[in-house]
Amino acid sequence: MPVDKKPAEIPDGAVLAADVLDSKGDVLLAKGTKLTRAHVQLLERRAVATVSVATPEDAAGTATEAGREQLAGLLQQQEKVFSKVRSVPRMEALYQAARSHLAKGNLPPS
Amino acid sequence: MTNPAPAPSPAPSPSAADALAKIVGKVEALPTLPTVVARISQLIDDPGASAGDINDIISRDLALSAKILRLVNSAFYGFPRRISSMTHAVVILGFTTVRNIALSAYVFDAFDTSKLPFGHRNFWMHSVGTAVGADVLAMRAGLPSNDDAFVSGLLHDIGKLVMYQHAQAEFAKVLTRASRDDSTFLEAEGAAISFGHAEAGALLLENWKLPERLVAGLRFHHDPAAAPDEHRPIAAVVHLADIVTRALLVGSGGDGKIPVTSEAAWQVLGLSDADIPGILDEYTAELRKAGTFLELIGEHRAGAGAG
Repeated sequence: MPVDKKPAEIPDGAVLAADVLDSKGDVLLAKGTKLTRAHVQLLERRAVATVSVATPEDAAGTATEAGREQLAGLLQQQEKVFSKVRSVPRMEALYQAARSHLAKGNLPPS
Repeated sequence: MTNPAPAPSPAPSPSAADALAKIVGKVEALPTLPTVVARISQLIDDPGASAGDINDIISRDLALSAKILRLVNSAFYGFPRRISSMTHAVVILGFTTVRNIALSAYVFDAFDTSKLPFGHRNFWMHSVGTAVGADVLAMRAGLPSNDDAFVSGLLHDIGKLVMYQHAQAEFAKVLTRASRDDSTFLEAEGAAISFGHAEAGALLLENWKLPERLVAGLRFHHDPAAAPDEHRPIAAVVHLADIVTRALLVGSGGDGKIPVTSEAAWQVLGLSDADIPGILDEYTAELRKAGTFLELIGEHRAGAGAG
């Protein structure tokens, strides 16, 4: 479950569970962003009190049924995209990393 | 196990060069660089030019000014305070970055892609994805200007649009061949016609008198090893960014396939397999911040041309 955290308390690899908006209402950091030290520094500079974060495992686990179906379709598409090049070790490494990346809920924009 | 070599960009034969020259020679039919962007390009080389000069030029095109300020203030650039004037933008970002943002703001309307067979949004989504990937990789590799990499990535497939609008028979042959052979667009070009989209795009950018570095990033994006030494890093980042974008299924390059990466690209950037997960994480985070670029795709005016 997402929890509210102060920037100083955000664990490495946490994922934003909701957009962070600036004072004008523009998106400062988008939902789904995997937070790095640089992001945390930005939040501190902008005096953001708390943000809603989830661990990567939580983010993957909250996928809806529709989301799971979409993910299955994307993984199938990805397998087809790579079908002719996986005999190349570098491409197999890229395939495995990209597959794992999608499976964590990092879906392409529609 | 034998590693298939990446398919090289087809070197234009004399007849291919003629065909390309015919396409690019239709100067009156090709999109021209707007006066605003062309003037900024000239001012970059003028040591006496000031931020006020750039402001004077850009302010003449209100629509472009508004788009530039939207991009400058977007999450992608992440400035802590709102930038409300072009003069301020130029002081903070510099001439080259403002020229590149102006080019980015303009390019979505330069071609009518509303009836592109593999989809206007798919094409530009792939282009924005490649731009973001090039930016991420250029930062990782410590390239001197990651926004040049961004623009080169954004424009890397613009030669496909040149073909789509000005060599329609050849473009259709390539798409048919790629579908029939289940091959990449690049492989189908090599099999079906005498020139490639990378060269067509590079010639357009030369026609626009854009810097050699941007042109090289585009011309050699399928074969970075063939780039001149000084431009090999930018060609390598665009090459890998294109492939990462395909791997993560962002938009479409028109073929639904992925080419094998050039080993030279990994070497020139000092990257290895161990870097891949981090690159993918940074790519996705940056792409999520590039929403304003994706909004501009949605605002494309069918039939809009440059002037």
